[in-house]
Amino acid sequence: MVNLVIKDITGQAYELTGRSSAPRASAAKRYSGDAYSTFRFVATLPLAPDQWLQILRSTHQRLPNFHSSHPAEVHQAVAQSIVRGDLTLYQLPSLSISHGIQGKKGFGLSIIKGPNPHSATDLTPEAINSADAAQQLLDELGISSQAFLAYLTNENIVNSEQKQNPFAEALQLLASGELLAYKIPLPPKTPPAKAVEYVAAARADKPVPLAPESSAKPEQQKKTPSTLDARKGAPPKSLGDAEARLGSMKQEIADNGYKPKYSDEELLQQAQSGEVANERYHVRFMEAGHQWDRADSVKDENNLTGKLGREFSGETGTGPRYWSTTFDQIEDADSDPQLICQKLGIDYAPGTKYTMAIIDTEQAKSLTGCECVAATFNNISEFSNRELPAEFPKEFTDQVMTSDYQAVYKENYECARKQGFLVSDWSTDTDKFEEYLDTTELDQQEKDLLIQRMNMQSKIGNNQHYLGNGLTEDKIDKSPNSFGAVETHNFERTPTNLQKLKVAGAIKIIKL
Amino acid sequence: MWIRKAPYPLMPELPLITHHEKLPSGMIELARINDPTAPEDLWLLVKQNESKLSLVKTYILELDTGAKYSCHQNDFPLEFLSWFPGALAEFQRPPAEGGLHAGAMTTPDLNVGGEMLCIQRALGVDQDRGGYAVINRSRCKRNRDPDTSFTPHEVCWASRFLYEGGLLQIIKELGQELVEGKI
Repeated sequence: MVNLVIKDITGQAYELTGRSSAPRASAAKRYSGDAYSTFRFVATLPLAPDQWLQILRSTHQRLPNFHSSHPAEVHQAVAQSIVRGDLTLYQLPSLSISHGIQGKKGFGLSIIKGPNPHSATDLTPEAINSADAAQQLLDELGISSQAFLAYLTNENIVNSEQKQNPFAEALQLLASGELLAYKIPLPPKTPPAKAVEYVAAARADKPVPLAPESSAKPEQQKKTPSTLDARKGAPPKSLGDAEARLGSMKQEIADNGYKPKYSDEELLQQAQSGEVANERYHVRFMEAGHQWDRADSVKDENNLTGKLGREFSGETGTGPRYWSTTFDQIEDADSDPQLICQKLGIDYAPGTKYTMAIIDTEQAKSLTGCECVAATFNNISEFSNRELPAEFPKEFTDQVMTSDYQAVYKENYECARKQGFLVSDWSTDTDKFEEYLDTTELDQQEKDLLIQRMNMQSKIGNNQHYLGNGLTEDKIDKSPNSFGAVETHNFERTPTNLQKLKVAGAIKIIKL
Repeated sequence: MWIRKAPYPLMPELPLITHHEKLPSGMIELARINDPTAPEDLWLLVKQNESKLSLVKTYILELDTGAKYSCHQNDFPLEFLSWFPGALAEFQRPPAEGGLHAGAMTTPDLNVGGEMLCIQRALGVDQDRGGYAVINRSRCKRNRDPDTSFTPHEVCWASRFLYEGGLLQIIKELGQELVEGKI
């Protein structure tokens, strides 16, 4: 029988039960989502694949045949189990003042549905035996009846419409135990949580010894040992931590010379695994000046009118506007713009000012609507199959998302360009491309495939130069690697204003 | 083999426009505009059959064999004009503002004036600056078999064309006129 509590990395608690088990907490809300949303959600929970497999086995369902050890296969199986109803996920209410009502004397109040108490806290509900006792509690905390009712309505705990005396009814609900009241200490101190039955995955909290600050005279400084290995698989704890870690690489590189954090083999494996895109901290590297809208002559640091997208014309009008990867991939390059350019396979232009934005995707995702994948054939195909299934189904991507077909596409593209059908090196005009194809001896099926491949370029951005291995070229002279970093591809419906992200605490701009 | 079948019953084909300066009788040009991101392209918005809209793209290619004129027509319901601006804004809404999930690249198919349309993100147009496409799955491209190689009518515009280029403003104004019964 399955019944356990899981906390995600934000502290939000969930109860996971088997088919025949009800959740322990009355206030548990059943999670409901389609297969894909559920799969993505399961992937965010801090359980290792082995732990998930243990849970799946306990439901006595036959496990699917896994083709690899890729966590995504296990997450998929878990998601299917949830959609079928063999497992059920419930979201538990947050016992925090952000979902409560502020009171006096250092406490606030959080109300949840009863009679069964919250299953992921060591706080106990207030003992309320009567409406008078409930009123006393509110008086003690200085919470007015209006404020209390407004809170209950806003949190959808009660519906006070069409009730003659909703406040009295609410007090009765507290007295009867149909509502439970928890006193929450202020300023917000995270209530002690019940230990979960499974620990979070090992990556989460490994401390990273940063290079120590030294006040010694330069000639007396000792070289610090390399921290690169310790940084592997150890994500920053915050944007500030990410910035500090970048800065600390400067000393490391000064002491030990540049060394890549990951080998070519590790980078290839990371690009193929698809896990890089799930990392919390991503970076976008761009020429400075894109922080502001090009029409904005003021360029106020406190009002970033630029967007995290490709809105702006460069001086030459060619080339991408930003390059994206994760913090983990770029950390070893410090905040040295030349190193970063070379790591990303870009020709460094001396005299050009560059800037880097570190993005907390947990904060930013709901503001940007951005989904990110490592730019491999497989990852781009899977994304396209999922998000544009009518246009780019698997039977289509299986044919075109290969190195061989990419060469065919590129050859035809360049012919169309050379003969004047395509008017620029970045055209995605399928009408003009079709006119070129009508001059060839290709049959209609072959033409349709090429036309749709160009359609894919217009929607997804995988142009005729796309290599499909998800990696940048390493142009750092002293690097032993051929590959620089896993390059990520961002899918968003509209570029987001940098200032909005800055205000939300979702971004940190690093001047390089 | 990749087989595509029309997902919805198809609308009857509208009369073909073979040259933008010689519209067949009964058709009315509502507006025309050049695309600043593809200066060779001229777009016309043409009302036909009282309730239909043809979005016509014309250009002249300078080929080795000489100049070649082309005229491409994609058909939509006239309600496209009043529907599109609001639908586009809705599509751009991020999840935090009640929009589609992160990474969503298309709206569901929506019944607009009796035809099934959707809006899609086009990340790769205009040198990766991006834009948007509108697809009409109730119409099949001419000379395609709707049972095996269905290809919907589709237009794709760069964001710079829609916004700075003024196309969206034209559509909004025409949409307002449609609502007011002026077209």
